[in-house]
Amino acid sequence: MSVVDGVIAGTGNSRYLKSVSNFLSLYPTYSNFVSALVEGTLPIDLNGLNAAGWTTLATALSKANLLDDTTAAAIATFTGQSTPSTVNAALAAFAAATRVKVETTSYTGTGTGGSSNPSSIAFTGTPHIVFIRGGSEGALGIFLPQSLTTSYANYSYAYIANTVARTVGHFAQKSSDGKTLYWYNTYNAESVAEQFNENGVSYAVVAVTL
Amino acid sequence: MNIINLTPESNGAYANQNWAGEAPPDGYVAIPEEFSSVWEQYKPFVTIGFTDGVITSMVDNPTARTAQEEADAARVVQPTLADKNRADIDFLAIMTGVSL
Repeated sequence: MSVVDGVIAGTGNSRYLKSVSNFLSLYPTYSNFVSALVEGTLPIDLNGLNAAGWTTLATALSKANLLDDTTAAAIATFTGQSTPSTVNAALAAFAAATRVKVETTSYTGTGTGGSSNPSSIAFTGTPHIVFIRGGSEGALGIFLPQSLTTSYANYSYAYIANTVARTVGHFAQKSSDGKTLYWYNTYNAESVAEQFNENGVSYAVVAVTL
Repeated sequence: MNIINLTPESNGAYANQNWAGEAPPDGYVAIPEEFSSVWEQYKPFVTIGFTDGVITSMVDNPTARTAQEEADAARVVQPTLADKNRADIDFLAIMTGVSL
């Protein structure tokens, strides 16, 4: 059921008030009534809505339509946080939960290769797996940055193309904040194809980041 | 937005990428909209003018591009594994007098 906004008819009768049964004996004069009202001691109930005073009756807020027990338990399971008891706590649980993102980007190769010409790509989050696709050999590159350090190491990314699947000569490292990936290739005469950096070639990048 | 590294590579090209974040990461600068068409036409070989880390001019760098294209053409193409396998098959076919 969708939530409906209320629309008052503007006829001056949208709500009821109710007071104590001895109201008249407590406030026999208008002056007594006003004094109690000003002092904040006038006893009343807001006694519900009068449908006749509304063009559209609003959906009443309740536990059922704000945060019921089933939804609260589901949020706890999904976020790994404790079961929220309020809407605010539920929103806070989502804000505190780990969020996995899929980042996509692209770059144009510059034609350089080898240890003196490392390539790099930055992400807004911390990448955990990175795929690069493109080049004259239609190659796919796979990086697992969580296994990298801030120093270059061999066998650090896979180059897969045609009948080739290779990691030798493929060096990579990550930045100290883990959000930038650096790599270069020394195999096959520092092939720029294996470095995913052929001149003028557009490369597509997909990464799972946290 | 497209961003480029502030420092050109050894061949004069600018490392670059598309960036979905708000501010470019350290070492990079956003390409202003007014230069986007120049970048798209000549990337990654452009000559860029910077003022206080902001791109103020961008033009083609044909010298660097031509040099890179000549280097690409001169690069020795190494045989692929498929090429090597085919050569082995051809050798065996010749030695055994069969067609493979």
